[in-house]
Amino acid sequence: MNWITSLDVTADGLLASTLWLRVTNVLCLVGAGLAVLAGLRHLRQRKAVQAGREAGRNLWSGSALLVLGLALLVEFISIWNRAVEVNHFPSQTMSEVLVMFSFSLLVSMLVLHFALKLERIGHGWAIVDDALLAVVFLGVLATNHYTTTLSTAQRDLPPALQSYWFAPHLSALIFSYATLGIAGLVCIIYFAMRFWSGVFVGGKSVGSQLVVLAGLCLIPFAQIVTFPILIAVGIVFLALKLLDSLPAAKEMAATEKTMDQVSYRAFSVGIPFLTAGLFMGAFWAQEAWANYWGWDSKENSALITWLIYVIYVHLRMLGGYRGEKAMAVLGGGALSVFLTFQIFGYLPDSQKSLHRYTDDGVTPTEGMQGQRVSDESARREPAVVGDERR
Amino acid sequence: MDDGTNPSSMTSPEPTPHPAKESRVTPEPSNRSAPDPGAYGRPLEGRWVSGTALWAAETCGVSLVLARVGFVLLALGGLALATAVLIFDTALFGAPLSDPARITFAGLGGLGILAYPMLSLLLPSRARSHWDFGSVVGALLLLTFLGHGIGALIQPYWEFAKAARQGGGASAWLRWPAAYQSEVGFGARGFAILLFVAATLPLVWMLRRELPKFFRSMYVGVSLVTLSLLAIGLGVLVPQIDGFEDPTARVDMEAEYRDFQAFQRDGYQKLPASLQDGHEQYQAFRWAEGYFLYHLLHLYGIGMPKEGLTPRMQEGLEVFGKKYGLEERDNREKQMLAAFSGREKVNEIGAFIHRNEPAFWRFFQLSTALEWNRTYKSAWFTALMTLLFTAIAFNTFKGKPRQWFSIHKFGYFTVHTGMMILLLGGFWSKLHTDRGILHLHLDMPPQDTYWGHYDPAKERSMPFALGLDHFARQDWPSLEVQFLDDEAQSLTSRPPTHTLWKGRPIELDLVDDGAGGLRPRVRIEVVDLSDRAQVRRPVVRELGAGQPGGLALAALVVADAGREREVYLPAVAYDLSPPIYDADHSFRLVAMNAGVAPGGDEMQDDPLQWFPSLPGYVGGLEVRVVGAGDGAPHTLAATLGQTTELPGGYSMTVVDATADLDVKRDKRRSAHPLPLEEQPLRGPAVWLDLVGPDGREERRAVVQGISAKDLGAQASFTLAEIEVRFDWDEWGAPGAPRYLLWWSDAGCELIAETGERTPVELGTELPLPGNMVVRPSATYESATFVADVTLLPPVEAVDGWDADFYHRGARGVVLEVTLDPGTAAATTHVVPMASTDEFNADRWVAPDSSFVMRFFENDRMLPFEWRSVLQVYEQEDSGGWKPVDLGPEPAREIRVNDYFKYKGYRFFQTNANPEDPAYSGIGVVYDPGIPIVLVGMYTVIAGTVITFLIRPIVLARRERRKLATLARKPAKAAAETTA
Repeated sequence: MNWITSLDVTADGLLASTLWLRVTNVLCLVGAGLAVLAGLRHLRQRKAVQAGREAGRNLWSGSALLVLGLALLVEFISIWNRAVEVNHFPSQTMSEVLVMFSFSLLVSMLVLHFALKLERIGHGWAIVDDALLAVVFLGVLATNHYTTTLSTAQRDLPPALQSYWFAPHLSALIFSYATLGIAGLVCIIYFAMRFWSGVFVGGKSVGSQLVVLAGLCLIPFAQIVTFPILIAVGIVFLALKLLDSLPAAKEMAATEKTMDQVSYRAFSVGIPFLTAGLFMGAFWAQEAWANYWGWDSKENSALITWLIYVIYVHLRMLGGYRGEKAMAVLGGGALSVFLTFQIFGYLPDSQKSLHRYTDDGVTPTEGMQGQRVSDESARREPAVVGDERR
Repeated sequence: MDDGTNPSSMTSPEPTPHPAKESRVTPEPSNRSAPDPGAYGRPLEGRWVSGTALWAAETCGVSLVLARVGFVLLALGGLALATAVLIFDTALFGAPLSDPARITFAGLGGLGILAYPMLSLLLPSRARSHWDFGSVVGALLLLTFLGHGIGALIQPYWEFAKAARQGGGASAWLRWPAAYQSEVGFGARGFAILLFVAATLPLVWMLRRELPKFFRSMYVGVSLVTLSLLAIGLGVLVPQIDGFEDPTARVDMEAEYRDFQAFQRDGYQKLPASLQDGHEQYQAFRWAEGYFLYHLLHLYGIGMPKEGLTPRMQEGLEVFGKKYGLEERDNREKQMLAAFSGREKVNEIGAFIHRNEPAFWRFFQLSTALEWNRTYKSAWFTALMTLLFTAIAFNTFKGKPRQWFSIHKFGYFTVHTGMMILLLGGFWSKLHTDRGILHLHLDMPPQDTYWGHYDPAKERSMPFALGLDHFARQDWPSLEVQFLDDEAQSLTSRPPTHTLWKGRPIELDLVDDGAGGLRPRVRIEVVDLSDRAQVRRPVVRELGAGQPGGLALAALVVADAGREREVYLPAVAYDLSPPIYDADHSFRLVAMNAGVAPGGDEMQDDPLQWFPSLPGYVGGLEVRVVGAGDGAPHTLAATLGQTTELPGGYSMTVVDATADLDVKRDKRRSAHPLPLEEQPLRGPAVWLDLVGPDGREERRAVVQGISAKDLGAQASFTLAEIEVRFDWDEWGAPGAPRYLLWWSDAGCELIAETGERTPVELGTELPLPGNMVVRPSATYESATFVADVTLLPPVEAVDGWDADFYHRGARGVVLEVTLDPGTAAATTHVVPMASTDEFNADRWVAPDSSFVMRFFENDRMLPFEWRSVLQVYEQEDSGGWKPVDLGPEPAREIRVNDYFKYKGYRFFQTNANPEDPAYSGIGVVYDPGIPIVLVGMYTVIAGTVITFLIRPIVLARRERRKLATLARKPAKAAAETTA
């Protein structure tokens, strides 16, 4: 399915959820454009402030935020319709989970916008906010488009998923993935800037440049995650070079420090939800199988993600790590989120995982842990310990 | 980013690292990158090997060279001692000497045993003051492997203790050492452990000041978390032995080696006949690793096979989309494309594994020897977690207690305390946990033994017994709509299954709306659903000549074994209305007439043509070869002896069939004492010989109505890519003599397969063989026939007891079917249906005969839910079992996500057998660590929330208050504060 189809709201035979999702996509496209315009306007405002002139108002910024709220509302309507269409909390198939993820991206962006309050600090900081907003809008669009390649067939909930833990466990994890994903996006932008700064401004060793480039290119799904950001940042730097407005080393350092703090705050919002989501899964497993931790590969992948963030927070708080090293660990966390969320099915120990509910064509094995012995039970009479009921 | 705003003015939620700590532990990056001079003036160079060696040299107070030599000697001595221990151990326990894992790790254990006392003697008073990641990781790895050795040494004691504890309560803990001594003896192993303990205690005493410093180092904390992360990651990257198996289970390397030699001789072509458990583990291992590595080598999908759909398939999809909706069509297309590409990819992965077989095998050997395929159960992992716990403990209780509860520290204190509780609970679980399965049947005596770790050879006793009072499985209510027009007949794949719930709309059969768009011709809405439905004799309305939508129909009174019932036999295709049988299967009876049968294969004017005589034909097979052909299921005739070529170069031969399967008797083919045509129709099945394009062969039994894929057993087949379902043809297959009620100009007649015709007279018994009496009470040439289905209200739940769930009768649904909705020609039909074929209450044919609906409980997939009601029994002095009053059924009911607990044992619903509706598999868990772990987890969550969400808000508020106070103070005070 091509990109245009993901934006076609006039097609016949669409389910209500699909229709509203396409409306969300259109809004995200518009929102991304508005965020870019807001960023350009903030750039001019910053120059005006530096020149001692009146900065004026930035209507684009407010409009982008309004579209963010609108997209949030419309995608919620889509999810609501999906819940009606499938008769349960819509997180059973990967397409449903990804829509929840894109919705969480919008929620996280809204939360972070108000938590970070970057616009209040200054126009330069507001550009970071605008850039993040544009990337999030495009991320939502890309995620929603990707769901069109997956089956949207209704699937009934297997018994183990019919639990009150289902919605909070999934919601907490997906919200944390979205928030930590945004922190990861900041890391990618950071390293993309670092790379192009090295190319256009200099001051970086060839070895470190190669390491950064390899890191950006070799992560899974780089073609839809890091390449566009790398190219977009490269274009910005090229434009600045042509305009002879490349930032000085001091400005770059200030920007990097800003991004470091922004990423930490995004992390601070996401980590409690990741912790809660991870352990809510354990509470649920305890109720379903009296086994709070089964060392299932999905559980382990999520635990690895959590541990990476534990390392990050220790290095940052106790070791005083900032900048590249801290960002690299944070980016590693985001990569682990991605592996857990999307690549998990390829990992060797995932083949027999109890968590493959979202895979198309895979029968969940939950509740059937002893299935292989049922044949045995047919062949072998259980021991009789009393005869009262004979 | 200099726009006149100072970034440092942002209120930072994170703490600034402690200045003293910053300078002591983490110097500035520029300093950190410089070589750290060691105690002997030699740079550490950041390498863990040299760092650890130097640490050892410092610690021992001897030169670097001597320390290395000393370590080699210690290693050799330790290995020798451990080997000796192993020999004694072999003599005592009969354990195999050739197990490389035992030798390796007993050697490491021996190294630790010898190294510890010597180190404790040589330990100098001064301690190392410079740590970095390299040296810390080296030291931690050494300690971890030491811990593994200790774990390997104490393992037999522990297993014995666990076995002694079974059912013995707390006092068993006190008894087991004496029991061990009396039954097994002390032995060299016990002596070695005592030696270790005796050496460790003084060592710990001498290090009492250094250990806290070590464990409180940031390097140690981060390194431990990193090592834990890597250990867990290792378990993800190396397929683990089944997680629900015995935690003591290991791969039998000897059997593996023997089998592999045979495998190697065959050129890796054919698996050896003596399949061992280890071999199955290896097969799973190489597939999982091959699958992973193949994808790793094809990043972004580059080089992976991609298949398209042929024009014919596209045409089929278009028809499917018109009938069942565009979303259904898109989903079907995605599945087909994935299946095509998937099949080719599976072949490529297979070839990849084949090319690299020796490497996979060596990696498997290595993983087994180092216990990477039982990572989380290994002693080294426990040792690592113990170190982690120690480090957390040292860091949590640091400083004065009142500091722990300050807003700055409370969050961290809570998180760390929670982690400690969690790890403690985990250790407690590891020490005590036992899992297994308890097989219960309705109406069977209570059971007090279960299969430990799902292994029938490991029966475990409980101090009480359990019986099964109720058990039921409830499936999802579902609807299938099959179109009967010519266009739909071209579809070879199954119609989609719609799960029903109240209010669900289903729109089907898209037609041109006259305005360039599409509109649904059929709209179905679920008006009501009930767990109980009553089916009474149908309402029959005779139609006049020329009125469409009527069926020929016979109302019959059937008397069998003293019971009389009314049966309606409509003249529709027999796959829509199954034949009537008697209990002894003496005859089969259907109704048919010429020219009006909707859904009939073809219109037959000659009644004798309704008696197909296809030698060997027994029914239909629905075969799908994943990734070959169009990837969709196709219906084929199941004819004995017939070989069919399947897409992708596969072939399938129907070898044998039975109408009465007995899994104990019929293994590779039917061993039924009666010929096929005389077998009672109780459990039809066929045996197929499947051959793959690569020569792989498989004999597979396929039972009617049971899908291996839906049961999760598909992967266990040799040719797992072939999915097969089987439907016995109740009319066409060999069996009892067949009879037909036939309407013609001469009226209604009974026609035998022999051609004999008997006019039907109302009230007169039909001349059929056997004991069943069949008397026609009415016949209709053209009538509408709607089963009288009434949905019964749910039984009021008493104390939360949902008795309806255990109701075994039919369920009901009321559908509102609208034809041509939204147009002037719209007609609406309210259709009550029940999930039983009594009076054909589960089917409804549209008035225009364009489609038929079938309502059923979908047992082809996981059910809606399973539930069991358990009864606990305690043993009486007389030895009998007495029921324990634990309240009404709801208090004793278990289901998935809701277990039952008694005397520390937890029972949860885990298993069922579709072929045995009275069987319930109950998971048994004894794990006293669960509440401890849960408390730990809740504490960690609370701590994280306090640290990252509450603390910054409180601190920011304090900061604002402080600023406000400052603003009110005189300028002088403000100036002082600023300064």
